[in-house]
Amino acid sequence: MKNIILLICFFGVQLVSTAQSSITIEAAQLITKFKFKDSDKTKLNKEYTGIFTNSYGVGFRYDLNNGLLFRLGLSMRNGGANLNYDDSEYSWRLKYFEPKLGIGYLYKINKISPYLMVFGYFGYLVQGSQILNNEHFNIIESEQLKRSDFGLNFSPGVDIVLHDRISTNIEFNYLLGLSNLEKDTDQKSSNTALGLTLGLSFSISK
Amino acid sequence: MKKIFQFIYISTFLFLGLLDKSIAQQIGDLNGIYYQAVAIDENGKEIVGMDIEGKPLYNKTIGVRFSITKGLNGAVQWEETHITNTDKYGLFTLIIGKGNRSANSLYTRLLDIPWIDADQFLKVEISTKNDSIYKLVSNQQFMSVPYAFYTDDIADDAITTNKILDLTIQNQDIANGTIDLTSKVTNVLPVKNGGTGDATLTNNSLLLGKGTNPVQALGQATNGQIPIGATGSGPVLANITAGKGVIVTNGPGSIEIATGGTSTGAMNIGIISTGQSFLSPPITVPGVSLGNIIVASLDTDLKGCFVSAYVSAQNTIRIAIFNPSFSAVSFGTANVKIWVVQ
Repeated sequence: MKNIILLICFFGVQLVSTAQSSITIEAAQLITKFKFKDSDKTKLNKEYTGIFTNSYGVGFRYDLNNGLLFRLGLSMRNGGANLNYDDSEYSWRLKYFEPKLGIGYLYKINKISPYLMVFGYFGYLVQGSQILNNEHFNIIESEQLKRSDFGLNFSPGVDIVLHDRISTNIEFNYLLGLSNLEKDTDQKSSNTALGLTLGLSFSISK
Repeated sequence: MKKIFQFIYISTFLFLGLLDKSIAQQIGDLNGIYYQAVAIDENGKEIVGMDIEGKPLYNKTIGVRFSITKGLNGAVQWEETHITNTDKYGLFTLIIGKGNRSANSLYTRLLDIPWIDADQFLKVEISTKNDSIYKLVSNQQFMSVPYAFYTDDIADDAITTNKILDLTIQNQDIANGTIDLTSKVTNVLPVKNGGTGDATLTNNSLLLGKGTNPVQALGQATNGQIPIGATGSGPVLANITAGKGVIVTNGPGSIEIATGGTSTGAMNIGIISTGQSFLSPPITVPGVSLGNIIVASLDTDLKGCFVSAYVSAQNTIRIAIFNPSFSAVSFGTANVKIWVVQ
């Protein structure tokens, strides 16, 4: 047991001694929609069409020399979808406050380095409306949907060094909600999104 | 599993066919019943969050089937189908009675239904996809509406021949003492129903009964004419004929029957000596002839003298006075009255 503790301490010292810390800001353009199964377990994903929306946030980035990458972020993410049924338009507009934590690997080439990140996120619904044929309903007040959401976000991208302490990253996002948004457990709906994120990192390491 | 209830109707309006302003006075046009309703998606749809329920069927083609039954689910007296389009609010308006009548209908006209029974139910079914698969919407008894009450008081001139349902007003339809026929009857009223059976009558004519045939007229009578029976035929108009010694005088509205031959006149007789006679000159009396009996009298004391009169020639008489007494009798001028018996 003592050996294990010593080993962890050794690697810990190594990590700190070779790591680089950064503050990040990011903004993303998203296309979001829902996955939905009705009470008969019928998939009705194709009935929903995506909407263009966005997210933005700040974070902390921690790079190790061995290519491992850790990111911690707080963001506001907009979600929702549209539905046309029987010549009537229905739409949803959701806004989540979203802490997320990700791990990835950056393959350092030169100034341009590709990477792959996997985030886990937890979203908290701060605004939500459902529009039925131009009639707005507050989903939070009507308690039709859960206020919490969680899932994964897969983000391959490239990191571009602009300066000794500044770099930018462009990444593709695939958000996969794992939580059932419905309070009614007979139905199952979840968030999904595709997006493109542009971020900036400011190194704070000495 | 989330159950979605069926809501087909938000509102339903029923009222008897108010096709124009002349409502109660156009009974024959009341061959329809307005029906207005909002069609709503019977199934709804499960979606994310708040599900779609009770959504009106906007601008959709739907099928509607109306059935009028005797009692709840009783014999079908009327059944028809409609295909119609809802408007942008899901509203549709139909006239029951203007649809495609099905062979299940017991009657061929809506008006033929015995509404007097007042036990009809209206069953409404809708095919939301117009695929002839109908789902029951409502099945309710017909109730009176204000305009139906209004028919208790028939408007002036509202009833005309072709507006009466079976073209016949039956005795039980009419309360006692309610009909004034002064100006309400046209055409010829038969004798058996109290009429004359004829369209016109001769002025100032006399009418005779003739069984069930129209009353017979004797025509216009002249002075003194009266209906006189004749064996084997109807009465005829004729005058009373004067027999011998009778004078009949016909006037307007009167007949005078009198004995004939009486006449009065003055005559100068003078003095008749004893054993002498007086013979008058010929006196003209029209109508007398030989063989007639002439009776004469004087308006004075004859003092025992005899008076006689006789026909001396056609239309002529003479008066003779004989004095059988022993002294002369002076008559002077006296009035003589004669009576002729023919």
